[in-house]
Parts: sequence; structure tokens; C-alpha cells
Amino acid sequence: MKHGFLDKYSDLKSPIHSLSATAKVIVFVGLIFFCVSSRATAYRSYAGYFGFLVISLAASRVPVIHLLRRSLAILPFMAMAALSIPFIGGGTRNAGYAASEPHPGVIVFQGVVIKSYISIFSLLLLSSVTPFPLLLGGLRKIGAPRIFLSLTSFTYRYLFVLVEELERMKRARDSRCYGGKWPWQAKVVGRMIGTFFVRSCERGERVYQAMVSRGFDGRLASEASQPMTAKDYVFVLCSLALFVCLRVVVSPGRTL
Amino acid sequence: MRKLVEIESLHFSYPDGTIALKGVSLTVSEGEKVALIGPNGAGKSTLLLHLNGIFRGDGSVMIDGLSVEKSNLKTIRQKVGLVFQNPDDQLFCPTVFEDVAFGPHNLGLDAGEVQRRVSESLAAVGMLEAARKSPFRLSFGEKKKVAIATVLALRPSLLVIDEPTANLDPRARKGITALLNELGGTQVLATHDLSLARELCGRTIILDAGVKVADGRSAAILQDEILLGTHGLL
Repeated sequence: MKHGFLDKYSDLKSPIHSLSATAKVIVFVGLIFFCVSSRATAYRSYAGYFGFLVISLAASRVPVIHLLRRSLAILPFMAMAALSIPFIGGGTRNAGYAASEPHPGVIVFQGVVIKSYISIFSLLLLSSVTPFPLLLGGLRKIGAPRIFLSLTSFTYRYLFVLVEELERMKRARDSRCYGGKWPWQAKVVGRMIGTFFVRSCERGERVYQAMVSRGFDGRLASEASQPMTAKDYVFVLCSLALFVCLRVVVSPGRTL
Repeated sequence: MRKLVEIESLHFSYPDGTIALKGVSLTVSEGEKVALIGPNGAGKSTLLLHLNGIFRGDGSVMIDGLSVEKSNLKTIRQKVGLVFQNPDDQLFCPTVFEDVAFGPHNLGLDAGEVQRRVSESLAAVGMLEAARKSPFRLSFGEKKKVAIATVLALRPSLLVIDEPTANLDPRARKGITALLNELGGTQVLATHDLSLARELCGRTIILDAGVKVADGRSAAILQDEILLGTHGLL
């Protein structure tokens, strides 16, 4: 895992990259909100949301393969949704549905898969076209809770430090002819996890001490985020108008 | 001359019972550069953490005439710029700018003054062009410099650095040594690097097993091979 893992391609030059982070956060998070609140069978709306994302992706010059590969992260969630199918609406099958109609669980499954995929695609695109610090600034601007932002910021900063630490431990283990029967291996891995946890806690303490040494009193001050320009307002208003149309006009109705 | 640090009979034990400091007394005057040397586990880092009240042991610690107690901590932490050994512990923000601005923000300064201090501190360590970078994109030596800038932004009266040259390659070590020389002011440097002590500090204190065992001119102490050998420094 390398440092640029989370926001790779975020420093390209493109019309989408040049928009303010706040505008991009409003639009891409807004898209998720509208998409998730749609009916499970609102296929035309889904096509509209996905079309918007594809056009944005093309304009951003971020490689398609990059997003496709990352979006595979959704697979475990799809598997979980599939597991729930037999338990959804099964009782009404014989009474209310014709044999030719799909099982209600299947409809829910399709909805969950499509909505999850569009949501993850939207977030991946957002993080690929916005450097992470600016993304945090944008989230701050739209009123995301400070504690959430602080946690996200710390995670971004320390995730790779911790991964490297874990890799160093693994290398140290493997250099000493790690092997043997599985109960022994499990014991070793258990100890490693314990040690890793203690080391991370100790690091957390040292980081906190370094913060307190510079006058930290529990409140994280924030850097000013990018201001919104006329171009950003046009992008936000046009995009939201499109989403409202897709949600209210193209496929109206309740969520399920 | 004004005394910036006055420590009297300082004792400290960790919660697990390890005794780290056993009655340390010392003073540091304004303008002095003091090397604090000693073997691993001597209590150097523990002593440094007492200078800004992160640790509070038994005994008296005064910084620029102020006793290290809760009501004075904010002022004391502005006066004592403490740089940690591992810059990854010190630099926690997504960008270098935000990290250097962290201290000034905590002082409640306005945006213009914060910007001024950040530029001034980064320029002082030669890292102005890295302001928008993420700390993890910097080399270890660059991180060290930025870590120093984060405390310079508080305009401290006393610069306290734990192992300034640890884990640096010769070129980066040279850069940090030159930087500390240029920065001037009052400095306390905890180090194993005897040549750094020789080059930069007029005075050296040896700490071993929580006890101050020597305190005097660096030229004399660092030539005393028996003394250095006895305390695991040669």
C-alpha cells in the first residue's frame, strides 16, 4: 500500500479537478442521497445517475480501470445483501405475486446492488478528483461533524504509518523461519495483533503529547477551505436540478 | 543572566514502578545550548517531558520564573518548544501548512498572523515550498525540519529537541546541525550524538539511570573517556 492510495489522481488537471471541493462534495454526496432514496425499480433514474458519473469521469481524465478496480470493494456487501433475499417478503409470495413476477427479495437485492454500486462509484470519483485535505475542507464547509473530520484526518495520516509498522512486524516474524502447526501459527498471529494494538496505543499517546505540547485544548482549528466561485455554483445548481428531475419526474415514488 | 529552566530535586516514576528520575537538579540560562547525553533508558526523554508539564514529577520545575502547574501550562507550552524524537508522532495533519499552523491556531491568533508565522517558520527551516505537501510525502530529514518548524511557529524562548539527529543520513544530519546552529537562542538537545554535542553545545549534562552524573563545559566532559565509558557513551 502506498501513500497515494486513497487520493491517487487527485492532482490531475481537468475541469472537474478545478472545481471547488465544497461544490464536488455537495454534488457527489447529493447524488448518493437522491439515488439511495429512489424506488428499488427506478432503473431509468439509476441510468441517469450513472450517466452523470460516467460523463464526470470522462471529463476528469481519471483512468476508468482505476475506478472499476476500486469499485470491486462493493462485492462483500453484495454478498451480504444476497444472503438476506430468502428472508424478505417471502410470506407474501403465494398470496400477492404471480408466478411470473420476480421474488420481492430479488427486487430488493437488485436495488441494493445498483444503489451501492452507484454510491461507491460516486465516492471513489469524488476522492479521485479532490486531494484529501481539500475534501476534508469541503466536508467541513457543508457542516460535517468536527469529531468525524478529526477522526478521518487522523486515519488518513496514520493509516499508512500503521500498515508499515505491521509490515515490519511481519518481516521480522518471517525472517525467523515462521512456520509450524496452525495452533502455533494462530498463537503467533494473536500475539502480533496484541503487540500491534499496544504499539498503536503508545503511538497515539505520543501523538497526543506532541499536540498538547503545542497548546492543544481539545478543539482542532481548521484551515480555510477553497471558496466557491460562479463556476462552482453553476455546477452545483445544474447537477442538483438534474438529480431532482431524475428523482421526482423520471421515477417518482417511495424508497421501496 | 535570566534563568529559563530551574529544576530542583525532580523525582519521577512510571505507573509500572520504573523509576525514571532520581532527584535531578539543574538550571539553564538564556542563550545557553545544552546537550543532555546519556545511555538508553537514562531518563533524558522523561526529563524533557517535564519541561512543558506533560509529565509532573515530585520536585520543582520552573520555566522562565513560572512554576510548571496547571494554571501556567498554556504560557509554558508557548515558551518551551518541544520537538519529539519521531517526527511521525509530531506531524499529524494532512498538510505541512496545517501542522505548522496548529500551534498558532491554539494560541488563538488571527488568520493573517497564523499565515505569517507559518511562512516565517517554514522559511527558517528551508521548507517553505513544502507547505501544501502531505507530511508523509517528505523524507525523514525533511520531516525533522518541519517538526522543528511546528514549534518555531509558537516563537518559543526555549527549544527542546529529543534526538535531533537520530536516524538521519550524513547529509541530513549536517543539514539539521547547521539549522540548529543558525536558529540560535536557548536550546536543550537530548542526544547520543557526541559530535553534535561537541559542535553545537557549550555545555553538556550526563544523565544515567535517572541521576545527573556530570554537568560542565562540553570540551572538558566530552574528552573524559573514563567518564563517558563508565556511563555507556563510548
